[in-house]
Amino acid sequence: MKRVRILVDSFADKGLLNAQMTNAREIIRRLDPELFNVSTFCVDEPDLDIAGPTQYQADQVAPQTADGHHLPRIYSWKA
Amino acid sequence: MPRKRQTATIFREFILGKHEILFYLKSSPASKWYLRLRQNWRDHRITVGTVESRCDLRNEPTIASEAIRLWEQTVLRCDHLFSNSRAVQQSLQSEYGLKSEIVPTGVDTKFFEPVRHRTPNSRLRVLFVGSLRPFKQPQLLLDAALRFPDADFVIAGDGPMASQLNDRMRDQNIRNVRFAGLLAAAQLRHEYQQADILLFPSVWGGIS
Repeated sequence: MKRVRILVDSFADKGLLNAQMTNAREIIRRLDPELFNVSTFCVDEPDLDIAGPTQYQADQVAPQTADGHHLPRIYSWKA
Repeated sequence: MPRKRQTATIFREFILGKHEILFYLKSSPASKWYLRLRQNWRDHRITVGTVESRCDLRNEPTIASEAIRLWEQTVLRCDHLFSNSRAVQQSLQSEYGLKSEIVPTGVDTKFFEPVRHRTPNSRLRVLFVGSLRPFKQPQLLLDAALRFPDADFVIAGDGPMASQLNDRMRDQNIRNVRFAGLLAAAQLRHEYQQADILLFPSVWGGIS
């Protein structure tokens, strides 16, 4: 079955504790990987625990840097 | 990171991304541009916004009117809205006439878990966590610290009231309050685990 692709407009950097980002992360964590494919943004190191340590693999989809600055990368969590 | 570049990158993903659902749309310039553009564009992707605080924002003096306007132009224009509590749902309905479904705020209970066998504190420890803004009422911690000198108080967070609170601590010689500032996840968990009481005096927010 084709999974529904969701782009979450939030940052999933490890250690970011903003309440909204934390909530988005918890919602992502609870989505059924059989049904959903989730992408979100990340500036530095992503919080891979979003996906769980064994169930998913984080793929860096669109890394970009310019002038020494990190731009948001898009991470996709797949089963 | 330059904010304009961040906005451009996010906006491009909104437009070119292969998603069917855009979830948790934030109050941002990228969201505003995207929602404006899709008005004249047959974009069938679904947008979902979440509301996590009461909606009478104009009653909170620390929130700029421009920020409220941007929020109204973005989050509130999503196809579907979630509220994180019944109070927020009712507030959204009464302030803007908008319906929403309730999705409670998530907590990672594997990470934020209590310590089962902790050495008792020699003095009672009271913890405040949150942004230092008037509606969160962090000044009440200083009031409590003066009233209960045998307890220790910890303020975890930062915000516009930080210097005011520090000045008051110095002027009134309040010694049983510690400013922890903004904390990383592990440090914040430690503060929660070591506290005996969480003091949450906010008069305005999303959880009720």
